[in-house]
Amino acid sequence: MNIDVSSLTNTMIHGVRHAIGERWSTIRAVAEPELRKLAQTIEDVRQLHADGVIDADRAFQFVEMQRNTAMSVVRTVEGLGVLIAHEAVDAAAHAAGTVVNRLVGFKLI
Amino acid sequence: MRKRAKALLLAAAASIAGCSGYFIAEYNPVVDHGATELQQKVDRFLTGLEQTVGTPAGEYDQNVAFYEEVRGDIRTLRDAASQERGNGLTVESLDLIGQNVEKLEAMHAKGISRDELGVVRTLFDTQFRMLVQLETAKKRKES
Repeated sequence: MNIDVSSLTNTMIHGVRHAIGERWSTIRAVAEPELRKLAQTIEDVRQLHADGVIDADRAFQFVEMQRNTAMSVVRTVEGLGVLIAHEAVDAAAHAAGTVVNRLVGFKLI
Repeated sequence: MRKRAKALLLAAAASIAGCSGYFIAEYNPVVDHGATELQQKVDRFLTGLEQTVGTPAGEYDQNVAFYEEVRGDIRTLRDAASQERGNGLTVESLDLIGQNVEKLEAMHAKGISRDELGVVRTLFDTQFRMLVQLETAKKRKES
């Protein structure tokens, strides 16, 4: 029994694209509004400093908090990315398994 | 030739299956619920502080217990998260929240205004939303 490698490749690519396609919009939906809010706080701090409500040292403290917050966003995006990658690998393995398991005669994948 | 192609395909397939070992830790309800409770606790504290800022009740000395409590909560969550492999991002996120709690405490000790608390709230909201989002994604993956 011959394996149609091209067809198998396309099946796997389709599985990966399907898994990533759905989740990529999720990542964007999560990260973009948070980064927008973060950017607004940078403007807020600038305004507080310009109005004389806070001094430069306090503004610097806020910048450090904003940096930590930005890192929190990055960490979550990173985590969601790894989860997507895992789903993609699962999808590829599933797609390949359908063909390969039939070939070897037992559930290899 | 056919055998070689078959062997190559099996190797590729095994490698794909093997890659599945690289993943984030499994969903842990203790961390998820704990993060949500901590988020609510910090939110309640900031709401209270916005109302009492500028009064004796809003002074740092009157609120030291909150900071100690939150530090303890973060430590507990961190310990729970650290027990599982692949939870580095969750631990880092908790550390980043902890660092911002330290910053807030330092600001509070020197005196903080209502306007500043608005900025602080936005930053914590984002941090907690990100942490909970990650935990929720782990849960979704397993369902």
